[in-house]
Amino acid sequence: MSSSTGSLRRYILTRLVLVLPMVLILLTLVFMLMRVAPGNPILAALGGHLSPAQLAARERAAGYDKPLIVQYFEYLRQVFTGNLGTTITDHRAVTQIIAQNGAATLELTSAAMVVAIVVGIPLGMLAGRMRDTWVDASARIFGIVIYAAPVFFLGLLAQLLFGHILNWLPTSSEASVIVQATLTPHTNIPIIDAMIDGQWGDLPDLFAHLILPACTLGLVISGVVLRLVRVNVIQTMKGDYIEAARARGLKERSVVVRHAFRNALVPIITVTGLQAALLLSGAVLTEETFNWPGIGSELIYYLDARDYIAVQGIITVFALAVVAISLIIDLLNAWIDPRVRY
Amino acid sequence: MPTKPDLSHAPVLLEVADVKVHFPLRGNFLQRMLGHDTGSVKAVDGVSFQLHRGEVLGLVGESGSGKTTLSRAVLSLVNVTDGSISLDGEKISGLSERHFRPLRKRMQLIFQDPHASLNPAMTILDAVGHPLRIHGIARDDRQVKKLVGEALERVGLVPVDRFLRKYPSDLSGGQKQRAVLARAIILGPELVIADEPVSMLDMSVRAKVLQLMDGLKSDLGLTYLYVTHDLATARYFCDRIAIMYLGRIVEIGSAADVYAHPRHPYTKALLEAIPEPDPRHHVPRDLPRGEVPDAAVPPLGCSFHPRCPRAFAACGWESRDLRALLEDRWAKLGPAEFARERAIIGSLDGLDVPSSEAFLPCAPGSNAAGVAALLEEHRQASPDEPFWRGIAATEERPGGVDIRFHAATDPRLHPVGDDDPRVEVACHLYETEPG
Amino acid sequence: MAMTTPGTVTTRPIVDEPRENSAGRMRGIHHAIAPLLASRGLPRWIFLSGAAITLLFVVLAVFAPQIAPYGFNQFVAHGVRFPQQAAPSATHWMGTTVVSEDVYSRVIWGARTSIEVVMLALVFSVAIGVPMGLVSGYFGGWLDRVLVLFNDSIFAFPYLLLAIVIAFLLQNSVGGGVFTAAIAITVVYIPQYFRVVRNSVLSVREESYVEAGRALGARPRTVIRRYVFANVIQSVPVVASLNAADAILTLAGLSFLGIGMDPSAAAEWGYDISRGIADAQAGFWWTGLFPGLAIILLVTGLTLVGEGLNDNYNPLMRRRNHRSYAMPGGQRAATTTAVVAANPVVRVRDLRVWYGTDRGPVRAVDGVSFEIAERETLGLVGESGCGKSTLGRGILGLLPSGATRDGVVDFAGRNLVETSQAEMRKLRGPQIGLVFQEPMTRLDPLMRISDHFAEALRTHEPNISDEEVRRRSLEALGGVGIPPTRFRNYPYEFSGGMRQRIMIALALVFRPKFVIADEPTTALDVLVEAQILSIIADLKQNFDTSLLLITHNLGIVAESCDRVAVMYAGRIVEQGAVEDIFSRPEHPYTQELMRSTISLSTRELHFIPGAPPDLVEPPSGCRFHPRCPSAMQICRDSEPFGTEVRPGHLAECWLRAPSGAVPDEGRVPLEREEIGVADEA
Repeated sequence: MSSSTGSLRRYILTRLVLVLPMVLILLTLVFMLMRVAPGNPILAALGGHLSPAQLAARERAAGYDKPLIVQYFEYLRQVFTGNLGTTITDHRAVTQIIAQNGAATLELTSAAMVVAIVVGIPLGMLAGRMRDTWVDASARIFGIVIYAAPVFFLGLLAQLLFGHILNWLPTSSEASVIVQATLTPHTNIPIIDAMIDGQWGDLPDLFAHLILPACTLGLVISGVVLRLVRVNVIQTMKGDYIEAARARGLKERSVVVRHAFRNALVPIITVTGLQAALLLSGAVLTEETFNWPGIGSELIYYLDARDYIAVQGIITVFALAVVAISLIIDLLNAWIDPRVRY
Repeated sequence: MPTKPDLSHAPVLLEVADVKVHFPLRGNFLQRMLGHDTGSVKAVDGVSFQLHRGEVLGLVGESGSGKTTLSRAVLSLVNVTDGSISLDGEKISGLSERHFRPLRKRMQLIFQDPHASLNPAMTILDAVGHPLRIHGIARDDRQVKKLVGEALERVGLVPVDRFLRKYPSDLSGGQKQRAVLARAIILGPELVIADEPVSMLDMSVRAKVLQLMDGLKSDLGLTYLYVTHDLATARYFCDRIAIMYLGRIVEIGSAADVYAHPRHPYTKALLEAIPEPDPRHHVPRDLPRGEVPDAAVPPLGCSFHPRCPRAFAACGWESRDLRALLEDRWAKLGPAEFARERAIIGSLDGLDVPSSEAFLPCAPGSNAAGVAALLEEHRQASPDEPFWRGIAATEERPGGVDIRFHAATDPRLHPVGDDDPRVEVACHLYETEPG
Repeated sequence: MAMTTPGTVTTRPIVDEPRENSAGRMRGIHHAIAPLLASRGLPRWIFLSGAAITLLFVVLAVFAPQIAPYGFNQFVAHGVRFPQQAAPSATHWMGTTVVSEDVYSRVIWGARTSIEVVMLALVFSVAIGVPMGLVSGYFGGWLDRVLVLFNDSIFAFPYLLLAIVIAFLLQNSVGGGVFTAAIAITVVYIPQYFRVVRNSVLSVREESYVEAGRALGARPRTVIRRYVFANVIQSVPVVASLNAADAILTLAGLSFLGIGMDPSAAAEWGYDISRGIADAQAGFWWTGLFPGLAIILLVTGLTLVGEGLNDNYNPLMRRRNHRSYAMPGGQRAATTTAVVAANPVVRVRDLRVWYGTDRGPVRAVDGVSFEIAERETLGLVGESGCGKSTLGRGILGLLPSGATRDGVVDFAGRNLVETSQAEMRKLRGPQIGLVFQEPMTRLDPLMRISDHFAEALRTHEPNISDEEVRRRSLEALGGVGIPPTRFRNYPYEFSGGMRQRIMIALALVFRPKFVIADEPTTALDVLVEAQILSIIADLKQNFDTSLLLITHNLGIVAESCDRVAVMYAGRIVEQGAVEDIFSRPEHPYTQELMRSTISLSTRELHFIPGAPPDLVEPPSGCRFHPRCPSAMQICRDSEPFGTEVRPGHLAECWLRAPSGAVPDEGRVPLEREEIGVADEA
């Protein structure tokens, strides 16, 4: 039998190669979406503001007079060289927008994912283990209701409670004005920047601003994670090898934790990774609610301004992020489960 | 069935000629991209036989023998990769579904698992009557109901009205199997392929279903292809038997002859391995070891040779047999002896590629002479082991020992013996007989 | 009879299938919702409460014009303008907004909008996604690969973003409104239906009945419709309700962002909440709160419907309703057993294992007694449903919750029936081993074989050294023919026969005094079976182990066992030495069973009429009497007790009872109705 590490390497290689078609499809999707609208982006964004001649000049400059297929390959070429275009309305390089605001979204979504995992997985495992008891029932109800609450509604309640009534926490933006002024942007993630510069005193303020948005989004996602984990644990516990383990006199705790939970992790990881899509959607809404300066709110801003190029660029980044996440999930799975590596 | 009529001179209904069914392995994406040959599973690998009208031919084999795939190939449910199948002299393999469809009225299939072969969403009336509608035999509901009723009566599902409106989940295993039989015979087929029809039923019910099948055979003039792994029911029910192993027929002849004088070592082993409900009878201890190998990379030469107690030089020895031999021996050693031998012989991974030439590397700290000496030691310890007959030459070279095996040849079916008609066996042991 | 003579081929074209009459369709629907009607307990309540909530909102949506006091953007009535941002009061139950709209009315109109949009989106996405999944799953090939790649890519994309973009584009071209929002949502959810239906089709496609449909000659579209789709459709309502729940949230998100719905066209909850946030900063809590609560309630309702359906229909989630049942005290006649040896390894007396169900207790094992001596193999033989597997597990205490045990199992100086779970756990492994039927799934796929051994050994002998673990594991594995070079492999690298050997080795590594083997060779090939049986035979020699071998195969009993116990309907009807039982069986069931066993020497077929009895209400008296060819009156009236027919040979049968035990009128042959096919197994 060939060694397991050899086949793991082969799997990674194969999987990386598969990234390409997925990326292509998504990019094509994005391209087609943006071209569905009648007219062209220049017209849509600046229609009322410039004279027809100026509009025509802009269009030529941006390449919108060329045939669609040429535009498509041009778009692909640009993406692969890291150029996502320049916004129409305020002439910023889209890549710069991503760099600046993308970091904020990254901070928010990472923190939210941590909350979702920390709350969702243990509760889900507990519920699955104690099926049909009151513990299970309450966990399920919690999971259902918390997901049923739109993230912006939870945000509203949080702002009401912790902001207005109790006045414990700030309810908008990433950091207070003072702190923002004193931070040097290295990575554009304030918490990391503060740690790099050793400005430990700023951290409480930064965390205070992060808590409400992260917990709001994280809790909503945790509802889904909880229910999915529960179902997977229930199905895993029915496995024949679980019964066989008990027949060998293994401690129940071992059986549950080492055998059931570990095997349940495989589908759980996949399923949690799929929530990345949910997370990114929710991030957009959370950023609007809490005035968080991420690319989600930028997207909304540019949508309002009808700046298609900006929108196209931002959506492209989202698409690539999704591909990256699904790649990571698959690699994680292969590392844990030796059967996957074929 | 007390006496078995000699049907070997009846007209041939079904002819299978050198049929092969190979399923290509998908391989992983990278291999496909680079155009590598990913190999295939040779489920059926050159099978020929004739099925005479009115007879029952048993296709007997264990898992991986290809018997199920072969039966599906006859019914055009899987594609034939090579060879041909003919019904009444007309070639039916390779036909498009449109052309094959009318033939389905003449050939039907009974399945192994009665709980899974009836559509849970159809009542018995719908299920048994469905063939009538598909082939346009009956037009209106009343006619369908009448014909279904007759079929149900024939299989003994009476009173008919009790069963028409039931769903499969309301019936017991034996009743379901009867319904499946009704569905199979309602169009008046000539050939019925029965795939393990009683294996999943309790002993007390098997006899009933077999009796029913027997009765239908005489009443309706059916010909059966009986596919099973159970030699006991096959002996009772079949006129002729074909024993299959890894995609090939290794022995074929009348049931009486094959059971009385099994010739192929596999057939002999199968018969000896069955525990009889008689305490005075004991299964011998020296039965073939190992299991049915992977059909994607079958053993070279005769597929049974790694397990055969009577294999010799021409049977197709190869590198993987060496690995199996070593591992088998090491399983029996104590830790100290195992450690000693492991220190002499290096990695066995190179032996996994099937070939008539093998290279056995020595472990770091050992040399080729040590390896050769150890091999000799093994040979002295078990000189009757068939493996040793397969070695043509060994040669020491730096790093290990080269071993060359005798050339491998595939055994072909040969007529053997004096019975009439003659039993055919695919085994090198019998190739010296006049045939 | 439509039996054409061999050789003729009808050339009539295929007829369109006539429509089923309405009675047939009603039956079909009834059959489809049967699991739902039969459900009890939690899944039922989940479904019903969800359905009730959903229904409430549907009613609100349909009758909005009648129920809502005002229009959705009405700010004046009878010439009087409504107060601005007024708190909830008698005239405005949920207060008013900053532009003087009535919040309560807006909530109700919002329900209408939500239901409309989601219904539209549901219909479209099902109409597109389901057929696509059907076709892709059934036909496979390049079409499938393309569709999967395409749908997976959309599926991976964040829903809201996709919906945002589509809604936005549509809004600019055709304007915002219900239709726009619906289309945006449709596109997003198509991949969900595609995925679920395709997976369902892939699993159903492998079923025998689909193959049967093809073998009958049904055209692909018929096979898809009647064989595949009919069985796949059960998964659609679950996804539909969960998607509907999600769609409400997506719609709310869209209108929160001001996309998709034009506020002047209809009321929408999400839009209200977006304005409510600004209000909240100023302390006006009611404008955002009530729409939010409405969303939570409706989405919860739909999710409960989905979860309830899933609990009822998904076979992976079904749970047997085992309720504990208090066992009545032992009213049975004392059963005697032949004394086997002075110190049997295990002695079972009057063991009962009952499962509680809705109909009453299932008496799977109903008063069983036997003994096993040292180094002896006792075969426990019976057909399916006789209780033999339950007996094996009952001895070990490995029963699902809701099963109750009663009786005595003497082992190692204690009664296992009364031993606590904690104590039993210590016995399982070192003292008692268990080998199961299906070896393929009995090993943890993520753990190496070496880890399985290490874990088991360390659990029971915590101070064992690594050296010792390795030595004993390799020794056990070597004993069953697994070479040391494969010690660190994973389970998937072994075949079925090898996995069974590993399971046996795992049981033997402790050298237990007693091993229970439950149908250990049923799933294996003939030659492999012989190998395993020879390993089992060696147990006696090499390990001094007593074995309880559970099987339905009389051949295995004759081959491997010293003594045999024949089980029927929860009782042991006959037991004794193997030679004795096989040469002179005394109980009619044993005789019938032997006669109906088909072996290489069978010349004539024989079967037992009728079917094994219902274990909830077994027949009165002797359980075999309805099928026994020699039944007498007394057999129906009283249960027989065990009679020692010969030394060491026990039979529970009135025919063998001592002459004084049966009164004359009891000996009259029993008259029974003929057993028809309708009652057969």
